[in-house]
Formats: sequence, C-alpha cells, structure tokens
Amino acid sequence: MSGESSAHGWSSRRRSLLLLAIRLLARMRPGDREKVFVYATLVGMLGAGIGQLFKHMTTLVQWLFTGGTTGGYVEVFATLPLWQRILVPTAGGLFAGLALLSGNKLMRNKATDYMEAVALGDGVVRARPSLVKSLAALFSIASGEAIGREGPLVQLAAMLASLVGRFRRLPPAQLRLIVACGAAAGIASAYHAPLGGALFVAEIVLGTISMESFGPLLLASVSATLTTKAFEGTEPLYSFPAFSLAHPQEILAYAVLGAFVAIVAYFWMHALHGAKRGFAALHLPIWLRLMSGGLIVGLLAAWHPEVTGNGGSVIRELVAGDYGPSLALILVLAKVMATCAAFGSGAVGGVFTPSLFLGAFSGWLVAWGAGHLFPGWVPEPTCFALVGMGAFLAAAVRAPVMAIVMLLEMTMAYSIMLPLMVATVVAYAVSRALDADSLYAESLRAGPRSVFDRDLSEVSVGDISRSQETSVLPSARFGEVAREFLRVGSQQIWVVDSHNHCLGPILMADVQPFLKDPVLADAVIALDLVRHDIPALAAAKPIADVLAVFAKGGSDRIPVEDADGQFKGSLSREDLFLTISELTRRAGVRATN
Amino acid sequence: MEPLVYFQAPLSESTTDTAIARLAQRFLENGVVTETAPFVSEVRARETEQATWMGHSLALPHARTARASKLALSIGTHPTGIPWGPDKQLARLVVLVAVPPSAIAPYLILVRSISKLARHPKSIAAVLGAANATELETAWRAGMKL
Repeated sequence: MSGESSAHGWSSRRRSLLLLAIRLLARMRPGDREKVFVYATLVGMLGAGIGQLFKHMTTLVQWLFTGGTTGGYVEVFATLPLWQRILVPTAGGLFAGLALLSGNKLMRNKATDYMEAVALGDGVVRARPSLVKSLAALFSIASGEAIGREGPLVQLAAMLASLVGRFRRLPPAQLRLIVACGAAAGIASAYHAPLGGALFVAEIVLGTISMESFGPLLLASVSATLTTKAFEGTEPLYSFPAFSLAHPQEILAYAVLGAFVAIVAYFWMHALHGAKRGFAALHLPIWLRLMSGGLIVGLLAAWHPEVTGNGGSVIRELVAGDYGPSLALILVLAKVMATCAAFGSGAVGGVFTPSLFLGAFSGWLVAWGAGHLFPGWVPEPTCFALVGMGAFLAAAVRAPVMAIVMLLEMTMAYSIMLPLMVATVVAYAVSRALDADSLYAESLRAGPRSVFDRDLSEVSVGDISRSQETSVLPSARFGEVAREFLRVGSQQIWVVDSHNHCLGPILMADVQPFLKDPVLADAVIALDLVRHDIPALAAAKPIADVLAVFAKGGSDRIPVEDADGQFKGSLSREDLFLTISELTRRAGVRATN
Repeated sequence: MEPLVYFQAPLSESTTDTAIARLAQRFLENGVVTETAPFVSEVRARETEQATWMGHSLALPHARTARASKLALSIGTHPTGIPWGPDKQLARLVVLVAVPPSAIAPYLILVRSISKLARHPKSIAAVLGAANATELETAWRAGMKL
C-alpha cells in the first residue's frame, strides 16, 4: 500500500514537474536561437549513439576477420599467424574497395565530407553515400588498417545532424551550424574532449569562434561526451604520471620540441599527400588500389603488429614506458609507411590519431636524445611524448588553441600546461614559417560549392529564405491558429490566402495570453489577427539590400514572395546575419589565398 | 485601451448591409472614421470571409483597419432580428466594432467580454429588451461588468 502511495506520489510529482516545464517553455517562447540549442543537444546525443554503434560493428567485423576481440588491434594481431596478419588487412582493403565501387555505381551523388559540407557547402551531407563510405571504413578499420576510426565517427554524426536539420527544413545557414554541431559531437565522443571537439570545428571547419556558433557547438559536444561516458566510463584516454618542471630553463627544451615536431609534421603531410599521388599514378581499379594498401599494411603488420589500428594503444604503451629507443624508431617508420599506404590507397578513415602517434613518438625520441646530449639532465619522456602530441597536432591542423585544450582533456593533466603551451605555439609558428598545408587543407579547399561561395551582391533573399513555413487560411478559426502555435512552437504563423498570397503573420506575442481561451476559439479568425505592418520582401532582392529592413528593428522574420506575389517562405534576422558572416569569412579566406 | 461605445435602439434596418451602414454612421459622427463607405466595405469583406454570427442572437461585424482611429463599438438592437450570414440566423443584437491595426489584444479582450455577456441569460435578455438607447446603454454596461 505504502509502495502504491509512494508510486502515486512520485507520478503526481512528475506530472507537476512536467506541467511546470511546459509552462516555463511556453513563457520562454523559444525562438530560432533557442531551438538551435535543442537541436544541438539532440544531434550531440545522436552522434555519440551512432558512434557507439559503429564501434560495436567494428568489433563484430574484427571478430569475423580475426576471431579475436579482446584488447585492441595490436593485441589481436600479435596472436595471429603471419599469413593471417597479411591476409586480414588485404581482405579488408578488398571489401572496402568493393563497397566503394558498388556505391559509386549505384549512386549518383558522391559522399560529401562533413568538412566540405560545413566549410564550403550548405550543410547537406547525403545519407546513402555517407553510409556506403562508412561501410568501406568499417572493413578497412576492422581489418586493422593503420587508420583512425574518428573519421567515419565524425562523418556519421554529421550525416545524422544533416538529416535532422533537413527534416526540420532548416535554411542553409542553420543547417551548416547543426552539421557542425554533429561534427563537434563526433570528435568530442571519439576523444572524450567536449571543449576540444567544439574548438576543432570552430577553429578548423567554421574558422570562427563566435558565441552564435560556439554555444551550440559546446552543447553538442557536452551531450555527446556525456552519452559516450555513459557507455565507456570517465577515464581519460591517456593516463599521465605526476609531473613538474625541475628547473625553469627546462621549458627551452619544450620549445625545441615544438620546432622539431613542426618539421616532422611538415614531412608527414608531404608523405601522406605523396602516397595519395603515388597510388593515383598507378591507375588501379578502386578495389585493387585499396587491396594493395591493405597488403602493404599486412606485410608491415607481419613484421610489427604495432602498425595496425589507429595507434592509440601504442601511444598508451609508450607513455607507460614499454619501449626502448631503437624499437620506438622502428615503430615510427613502420607506422608512417602503414598509414601512408592505407591513406594513400584511399582507405576511408582518419589520420588524426595516427598524427597523435607520430607526435608522441617524436616527443619521446627528443627526450631520449636530450638525455644523451646532456648527461646530467634526465628529461621526463612521458611528458615529452604527450606535449609532442599536442605540438604536432597544432602544426598539422593549424589550430593551436584546439590542440592545447584537446591534449588537456585527453590527459586530464593540468601539470603539462606550461610546456604544452610553449611547444604548441612554437610548433604552430614554425609550421606557418614552413608554409605547410594543414592536414585538412584539401577538404577545406575542394568540395561542393554553395550559396556561401558567391559574392555578397549575388546572394538573393530567395537563396537563404525558409520554405515550407506553417500557414493558415485567412478564414481559419482562432482555435485552429492556437493549435498550430502549440504544435509548431513558432513565434509566428503566416496567413496565406487560397491564391498563395501572404497577408502577413500572426505573432505569438499578440495572441499568447488568449491561446487557450475556448470562448474565442470560434469567434475570431486568422484575418482578425494578421499583422499588415510587415511588408514582404522580393525573393530576387539581394540580401545586401535588406540589412536595413532588419536593422530598423521590428519583426525577426519577414515574408518572402516571388515576382508574381506568390508566398515563398520567410527570411529570419538570424539566418541573414549568419549568412553574411559566413560570406564575409569566405571572401576573406579567398582574398588571402 | 477602453473602447468608445455608441448605442442605437431600436434599429429599423432589416438587412445586414443597411444595419452595418447605419451603425457605422455613428463612427463617422464621432470621428472614429473619416468616411463610412470604405470602412463598411472592409466590414463586408470580413463578413464574406466568415459571417460574424456568434449565437445567442448576437452578430459582431467588425474590421481591423487603419481607417479606424480608435477602438470603438456601435451597438444596436432590432426587435425581430436581422437575417445574418449564410444561414440567415436572426441577429437581434448587432455590435459593430472598429479596430485599429495595433489593437489586437484589446480586440480579443473585447470579443471575450461580449461573448460572455451573450451567454449570460439575464444580461442578454436585459440588452435585447431595451426600449431605447439609454436603456440599452444601462443594460450593456451592467452586462459587461460581469
């Protein structure tokens, strides 16, 4: 009985809380910006969820290939006979190539990389080509190819975000932002780095850190990280022993480390792009090209299984002090060759973690060399390895703030902050001086063109307006109008007559106190409530000419009509400003290139 | 925004158009509108969109228009009723409302109050039973206080 009354009490409390939440939401009147926060949180969770699914699928396919799932790729490959070490990545490459080949034959659209979709495109990441690409990635990664799974994780998260945005019919500016949120979620969940994920997308992909975009990115990253931690626990990716600078002058060694890893990063990127050009020059069919890449990885794995996978587990062993200098050097060379073979052959995956691998080993080798050059000094190799990762990242992706934050989040070790900052800044400066391309330069240069690549004067209102807006007929009764408001949660509903002419909006602000009044439900119609003081914009009008309309204040949204006066949708203040901001940014990038 | 109210009882007009025109005349006399014809045509357009028959012998013709300088009511009663709307319901109480464009909330409050009055049996009986404009005003104001 007491259990029942307690359950009843809880149910009653829950109902009260729900009612309170609904009332608060109704009072807050969420606008476009607040809705973006909701979408960002949702795509964060979805991104982390699909990431978990991909990880489990990878484990399943890995088991099918090798019969082993305990431990990482290195542990599994170490137990395989030599022939199987060679065969598994070769077969993985073949399957991945066949998947891409079938996808290319069956689908007209090429998969859009999430970076292209956000940095260059309009946020459209098509689902089917992305899924084919992810299937190929699944074969490559599960077969132990020396490539990271963060690439497909981020791509899938961005694809889901794009689907959510397109389902909600968001305009290009908002769709880009939501896809960027998906990408941030993918990175945050892959590296347990919420701030790093948001900064990665802001610094590298969007090219701006403004609160308009950074707030949603943070929300997506946080919700993704929390979701991931619910599955994987809260341990940092790389554990780190306590550390402190023995002497202030020691910081100079980290500055040298920064310069060194920047040079290594320079050659690393040349090696990656060279491998791609080399494989392309062979003119092999795609399945044979990927199979060849897999075969090279397999041959290297027969020699040293440590080359398989993204390199994360080897970094952990390095940090734990499991390697001597000669083995470390051999592993670096073998890993570079394996990753170049996988990446160059076109295997779908990321090179972010392999880059961390190279940074960590470079740092570790610098510490070892410094210890031999200066016999009285015993540098901490683990710290050099971790700082090397951050500095390498800063040089390779040209995003120093993101690199510092991500390293701190991955290690949870604030004590590396000072050497990390020095090494990162030096690495970034040296990388710029070398005029090295960013790791993502190709994705950020190539790709689909969109409305954002035109000149400001060439973009019209119709290009960025939202179609498919909620509308009612002038004769719609107030009860119907109220139901529409409550259903769509919008700040305005358009009144459009049977000839598709827009008479104006009904504003939530005008009618909110009366929405639940049954007396008015049949007594008032939409025509009685429509605002006539918000004139429509012509769809063909350049957006540069409508800034003044919004600058005067008033409505946040203006109806858009074509030359025949037909209602085409609406233009929001936020979409306009986001679009102009992005157009200006890209114009600046074009001017500096 | 307190509306201006004008009373007319009994109305002798027997059609919707003539009753509206008669009640609109009071707006012209009191400076609510500067011309009746365009205002009346807007009221008719609204009636065409949907008849303003509200039940309980009440019709509420109105127009939200820039021609109205103030929120104002012109109220008339008819002894037998004027056929209203496509169903020719008999409207014994006709309340013509001029609504300035910005007065959406005051208009909704007003419609709510009038609907409540019409649903209150004693009040609507008193209003419909008024023999002249003075009685109508007294009954109306008493009913609107409810």
